[in-house]
Amino acid sequence: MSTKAGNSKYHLYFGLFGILMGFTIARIGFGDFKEVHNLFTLADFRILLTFALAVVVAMIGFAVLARGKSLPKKKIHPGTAIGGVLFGTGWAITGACPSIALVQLGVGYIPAIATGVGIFAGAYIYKHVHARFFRWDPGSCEV
Amino acid sequence: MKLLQRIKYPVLLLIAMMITGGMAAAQQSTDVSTIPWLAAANKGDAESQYIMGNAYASGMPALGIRKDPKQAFQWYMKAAKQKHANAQYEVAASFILGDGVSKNLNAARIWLKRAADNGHPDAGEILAGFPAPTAAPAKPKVPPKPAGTTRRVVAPPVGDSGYEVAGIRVDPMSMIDAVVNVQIFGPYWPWWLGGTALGLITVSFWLAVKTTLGVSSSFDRIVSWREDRDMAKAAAVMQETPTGVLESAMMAATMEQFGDDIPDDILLDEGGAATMAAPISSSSVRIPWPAHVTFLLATAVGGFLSAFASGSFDVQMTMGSTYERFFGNGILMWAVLLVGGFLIGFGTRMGGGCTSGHGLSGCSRLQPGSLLGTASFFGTAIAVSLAMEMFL
Repeated sequence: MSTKAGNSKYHLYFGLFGILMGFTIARIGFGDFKEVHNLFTLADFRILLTFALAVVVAMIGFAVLARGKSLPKKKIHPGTAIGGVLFGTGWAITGACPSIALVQLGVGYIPAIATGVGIFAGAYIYKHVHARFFRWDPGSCEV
Repeated sequence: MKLLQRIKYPVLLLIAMMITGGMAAAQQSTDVSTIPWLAAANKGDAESQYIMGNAYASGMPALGIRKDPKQAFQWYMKAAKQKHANAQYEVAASFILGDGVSKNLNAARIWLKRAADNGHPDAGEILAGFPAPTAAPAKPKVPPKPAGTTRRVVAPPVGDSGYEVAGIRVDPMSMIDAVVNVQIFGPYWPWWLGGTALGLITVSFWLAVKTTLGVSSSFDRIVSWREDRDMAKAAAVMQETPTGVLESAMMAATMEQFGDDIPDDILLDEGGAATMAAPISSSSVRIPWPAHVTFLLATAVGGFLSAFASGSFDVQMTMGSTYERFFGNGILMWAVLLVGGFLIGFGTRMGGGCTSGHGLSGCSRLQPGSLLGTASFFGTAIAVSLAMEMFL
């Protein structure tokens, strides 16, 4: 897969899905802090319903199309809950998850650049912290 | 196209969904779109005229109606003359506020009286507090009605009397127009459309590239680009070296490292060398890291396309009014975003996934780690948001 042809295929696929996903997320209103805040203060259940339906659709899709295939496992490890708490806090105060930060930028919220820089920094620091201190499997490498 | 072949089922499903959903939306849009009201309003239907008034009073960009108090007043007036109580009330309010018409308190009183007589709940109360009728134009002390209480709320005309009139008229172009402008590029998507699209993207992504969707791992892969490069080099060397040489070399290295404590399964496993040598990384093992850069950039492009198509694209140095309410738009905002971003990056990698990796790809396959992770970040986000609402 290190050939040029293989690479450009991945760029094409990832580019295509990136655009599709960014578009969908923006159309859902996920890139709008107000909508996200309304979701988390339970003032508006539209996005919650959207997300729940997306999980159901994906569940049916995987059940039908991925039967018998090996997909990455996501096991519980000590970092699961704590990482979730950190991420949840970050999401609440920025309105962003990793993909939403870029969607925010795309729809015109320039300060989302700070969020993006923060995410890169966080992922980078975590990589070193993990290698130094934590012993658990970060997940999903057992296919 | 190989890609199309791989994702044919989701694409078919999406098309089926768009047809059924589009039909439902068209049905709904026939109710909501301005065209049926306009037709009915022009035919003299009071309720439709009142709705037109509301539409012009607040403006409905999705339907191409700009805010126009004069137009609003005219529509209200038409409905009011047909004894539409709410319209009479709005006419009175327009006269009081001088909104779309010059101020005229005597006229306002007359319309308030009529609205009250027709049973408008608030008109009587306001009329009671109104300055007494005088032959000479009275100078009111206070405008009796604060703007924007019950006024200028666009009532959804679903099930209104105007519908029967419009129901007869079937205009495919205006229906397509309504679907495209209101449902696809208008306000945010309804849950059924957004949910189906997001779910299908999740599955299609896996079908197309054989790794599960997970945006936080894209960030991870990009910051790990150096390791990625080394792994690719190692893999290339592996491929060129004969298997026997490699296995004995690795075994020798393993013996040196662990002595006699080598677990049996490694010794016995025929493919042990290959398994051990496989790069240990997150879910996307084979994807070259620049593809992840493309992915993230494309996500932003997708957001831009959406905003541009719906006409809401607007470059701004703030995060919107709701955000400003909490963190302003100055140095505090930048600091909070940076710290928040750090928490997101650190937290998602620590937890092993984000909204897409855990929430969509993982929860849909009932992975225990994903269920716990999603519950954890959703729960925390709700708690923190409620706390922000309370204390900030």
